[in-house]
Amino acid sequence: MLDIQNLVAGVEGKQILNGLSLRVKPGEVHAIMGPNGSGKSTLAGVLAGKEGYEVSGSLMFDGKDMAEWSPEERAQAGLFLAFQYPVEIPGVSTANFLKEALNAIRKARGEEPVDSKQFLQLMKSKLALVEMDKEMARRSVNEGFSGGEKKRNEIFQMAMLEPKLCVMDETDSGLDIDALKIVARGVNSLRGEQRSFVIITHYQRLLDYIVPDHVHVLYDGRIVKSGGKELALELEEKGYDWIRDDKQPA
Amino acid sequence: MKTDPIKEYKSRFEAGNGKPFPALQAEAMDTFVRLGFPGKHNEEWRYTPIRPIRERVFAAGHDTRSSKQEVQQRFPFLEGAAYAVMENGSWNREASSLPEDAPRMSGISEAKDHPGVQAHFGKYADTHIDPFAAWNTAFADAGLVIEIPDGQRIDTPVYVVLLDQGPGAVAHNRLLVMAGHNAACSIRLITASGTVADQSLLNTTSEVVLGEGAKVEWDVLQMQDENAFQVANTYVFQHGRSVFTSRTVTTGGRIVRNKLHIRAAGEHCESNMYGLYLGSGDQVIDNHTGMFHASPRCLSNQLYKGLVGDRAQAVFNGRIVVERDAQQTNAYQSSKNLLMGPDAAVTAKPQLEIFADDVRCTHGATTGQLDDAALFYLRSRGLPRDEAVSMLNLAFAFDVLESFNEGPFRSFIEETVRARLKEIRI
Ligand SMILES: Nc1ncnc2c1ncn2[C@@H]1O[C@H](COP(=O)(O)OP(=O)(O)OP(=O)(O)O)[C@@H](O)[C@H]1O
Ligand SMILES: [Mg+2]
Repeated sequence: MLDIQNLVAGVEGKQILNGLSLRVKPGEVHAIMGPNGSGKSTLAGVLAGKEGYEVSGSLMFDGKDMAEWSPEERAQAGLFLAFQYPVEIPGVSTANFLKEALNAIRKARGEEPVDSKQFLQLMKSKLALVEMDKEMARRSVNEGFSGGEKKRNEIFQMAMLEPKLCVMDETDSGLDIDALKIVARGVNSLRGEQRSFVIITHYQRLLDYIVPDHVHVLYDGRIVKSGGKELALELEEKGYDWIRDDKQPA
Repeated sequence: MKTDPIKEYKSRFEAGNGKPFPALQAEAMDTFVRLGFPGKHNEEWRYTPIRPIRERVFAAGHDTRSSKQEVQQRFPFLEGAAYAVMENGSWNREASSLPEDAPRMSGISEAKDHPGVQAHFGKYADTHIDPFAAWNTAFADAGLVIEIPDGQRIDTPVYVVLLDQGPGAVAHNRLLVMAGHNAACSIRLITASGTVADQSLLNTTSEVVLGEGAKVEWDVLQMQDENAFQVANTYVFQHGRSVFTSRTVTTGGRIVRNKLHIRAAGEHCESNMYGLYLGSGDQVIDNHTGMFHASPRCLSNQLYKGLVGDRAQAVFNGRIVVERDAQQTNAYQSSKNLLMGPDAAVTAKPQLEIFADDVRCTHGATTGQLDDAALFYLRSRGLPRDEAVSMLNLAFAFDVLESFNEGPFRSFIEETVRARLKEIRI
């Protein structure tokens, strides 16, 4: 599904990702943990095609080289990024832009556009999935939303667009325990053999609900340790210092 | 030898007869000759190059008349509505439609002896200092008077379609709106180019008087062809407790100059001014507002927004005058612009003159670029860049569009704006 080899990325001469490699197979859930500033959001941004980075290395999505693709081409190919800090867009309603987005994706896939009625139906079921009021979808994107509501809106959009690869950047931060469960339930319901997840998080707690197949530690722009779900527990207990010590050559 | 345009207009004036207000109009003509067209050294026109208007001799008129069907086809929201078509400066009655419950409309010539017209015509326009108002007044023979008697509240809007027509012609449209005590009405102006229009000029002067407690909505859609010109001077006089709301959307025209002056003469008036302008190509769009607070405890609110691309130039000049007696005035003004390219220009200038001490007055002018974070967010959902840009631009315009009452007219404006925005992408 996703194959990243030796990814190097920086901004304005400052290198942030230092040769990162990661492979995600269809149906897998990967968790990425790592201290603040280690490059997690940069990785997410580079994957989604955000402009402004100098990037090298190989980025394969579904067997195709996506390095030169625009953000919309990546989305249309089935990549979704749930933002750490979802943007507020006054004057654009979530429902309105999502319908256009969905139809752009469907068009790229050679599918017929959905009409208003079908869209409303779909929206209703996905809103229910994340227990979001339909009023929220009518409002301007994220405007005046609480932190938790913004995160829920990300998962709602993800559910609507049915991507192949979901990259979730700290979706759990700022969620209360009930919201966390709702989001996790939403994500779990989307899990399937053909859909993969890259979940960036600081907390083991989320991984109690969304059980990952693999856990990686991103440190200084590189994946320095990978393991199974127990690695998350270990990190929770010991922090990142032991990895840094580990990493030092003996 | 090249003809001097002003001389030509003067001889045309002298050749005309049957002026409804001979003295007033002769004086206006003198003023126009004396002032001439404003140039760069005139502070009021500094950022508004009007050479194409100043240097040509506009033809007096053109006799093409649109049919009712043509007009309704072009503006579908007119179907079933009350509307007057002003074509080339005079009232095209055949193309107009005035149901019985519509407010009383009459031509200025036939209404000139009406006491209301006698009392108000030419009383608010600054004919003595504004050359375009003077020029208009001199030639304002075929204007339109709309009168809403005391206490009458008309729910359905009245439309006035102003068409320029013919090659290089000038049309002097004149409007007088008189809303009586506690009267209410909604007037919607559409300015557009007629079928044979080509580089023609609409020079419109409107006077709007609101009696005590009156309520007038004044919506303007300016969508002339890209080589047409327009100068629109609007003078509003508000008696106490009246509410005036204007909304001006400019999508077309090579040069558009709007002057909107409101005088809040009585206490507890409310004045709202919304504006949206979309500039591309070589368009020049200028909005000069003047909010004159003459009485205590009034509220005024201005919101002007512009999207300006290509080599277009936009001007917003917002003057607020709070006179000495106008205590407890609340006056707000905001002007926001999106610059869509390196060659586009916006000049946004608040101009505050406050002579009272107990006043709340805020103003702000911003000029920015498209929000990259928002653009990336939308694209990351699969929206093509162009579509995302259009969507964000429309969102920028949203709070002005939203100020219009819902209905077919607003939908038409939204469609017009949406289509225009596609042309000023970056
Ligand atoms: N546009 C930018 N310009 C300059 N520095 C940047 C830019 N974007 C990211 N950085 C820097 O790169 C480093 C990695 O940032 P990134 O946001 O990827 O970290 P993160 O792992 O997501 O952190 P957190 O856990 O706090 O979300 C940080 O030091 C950050 O300051
Ligand atoms: Mg981050």
